[in-house]
Amino acid sequence: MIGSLHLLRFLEGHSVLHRAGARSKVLALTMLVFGLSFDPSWSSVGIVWTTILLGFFVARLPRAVLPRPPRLLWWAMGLALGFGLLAGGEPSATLGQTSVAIGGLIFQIRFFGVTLGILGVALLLGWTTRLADLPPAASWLLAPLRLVRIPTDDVVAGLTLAVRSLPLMADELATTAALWSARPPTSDKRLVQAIDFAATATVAATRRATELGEAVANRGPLVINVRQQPWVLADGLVVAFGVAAVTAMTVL
Amino acid sequence: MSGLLELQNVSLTHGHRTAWPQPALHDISLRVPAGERLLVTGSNGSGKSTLAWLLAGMIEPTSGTATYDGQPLSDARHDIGLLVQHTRLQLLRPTVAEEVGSYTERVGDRLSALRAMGFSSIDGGRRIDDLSVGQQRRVGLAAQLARRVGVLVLDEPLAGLDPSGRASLSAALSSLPATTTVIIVTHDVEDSRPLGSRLVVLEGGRLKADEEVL
Repeated sequence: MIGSLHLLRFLEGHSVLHRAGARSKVLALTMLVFGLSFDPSWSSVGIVWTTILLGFFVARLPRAVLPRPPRLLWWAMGLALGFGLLAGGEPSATLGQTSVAIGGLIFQIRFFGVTLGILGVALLLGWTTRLADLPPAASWLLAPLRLVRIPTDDVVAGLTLAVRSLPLMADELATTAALWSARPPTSDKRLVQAIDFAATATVAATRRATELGEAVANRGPLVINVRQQPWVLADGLVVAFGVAAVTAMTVL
Repeated sequence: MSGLLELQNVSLTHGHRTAWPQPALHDISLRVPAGERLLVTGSNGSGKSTLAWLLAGMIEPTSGTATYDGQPLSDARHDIGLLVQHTRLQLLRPTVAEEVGSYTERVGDRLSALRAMGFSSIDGGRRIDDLSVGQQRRVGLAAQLARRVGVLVLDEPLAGLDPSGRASLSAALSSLPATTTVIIVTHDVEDSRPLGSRLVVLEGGRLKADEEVL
């Protein structure tokens, strides 16, 4: 279930996006996410989704990379849209003799546009960038914060461990979910079963975090390789696109 | 009920409909009669754990047929128990008694399963998180025994245990009912050899050898 989401999985390729370094892509992604967060208007949502679609085709990615989220997520989204409709608000749509206030529904759709848009650009980054290249890129991006005495090395070390443990975590949660589904039906209420599952997943996550912490303690401080690849034309194109997209978000 | 577990020309590719297909098993054919003690071994990445999950009906083959008693393995999961290497992941209840009790409502079955795995009635109140890895595995086994499954699939049951933990778990495994088919997936065949009557060797996802254990 969770394993089928294929979070941050790289797919080999020779496109501009593959040739560009992690720095430029992380920078462009940061610009897009900041732009969208400060101005989550329909035009910004449109620009982000256009970026995702454009990136998808430029990187020549197959449809098979698209995640297949669990059915539960679709149900949850449908429920959220239902609540949005119930919330009412302007404008109204007229269906025959009936007028329905759809302001809440539109707001909910825009909310999905923003959150899924951010997820989409992150997936695009994952499909075209090797996982190991992300921590040095983050280190480069956060470097200016050292001037205000923010411990960026520690932040990057934490990020590195989090990124490395993500596939392991996903694997353990998928295993727990599969084993849970294989248990015989009991008279317990489903809520109790769900709490048991959540508790076990938490134990698994805590154990993984503890193991990583112990590994760090045993090997000493984590040193991130901050040697960066030289900038290439593809990097310039990616950054220029990011700047253009954010400018468009500001202007439109 | 014959209790025959059978794989016919089974191949399995992880993520076969994604952009990251990973072939794990190739053209495996295997017949495991009821009550057999089968050891499955092979090096890292040979497909042992995938085969364990397949035999337990947790995943379906990409091609070929996998059956138990003539029905697809995925439909026979109620009669097949799986014990994974990281057993803690499958122990969902807080105490030993609650965990084993969540598999059966018959009190007699719970108590006899716990006794068979070396636990006394006092141990029932112990918290799962206070147990050693070996003890957690014995709780997992007790839970499967309480279910009265026909087939037990154990993925690396002795891995990571100290000598006393190995000895106590080996003793527990030796005492499993003779009618239960036991499939032990292990990379350390020497320690598991006394527990098996037949040995299957995997290499690169293919069946390399299938022999009797002497």
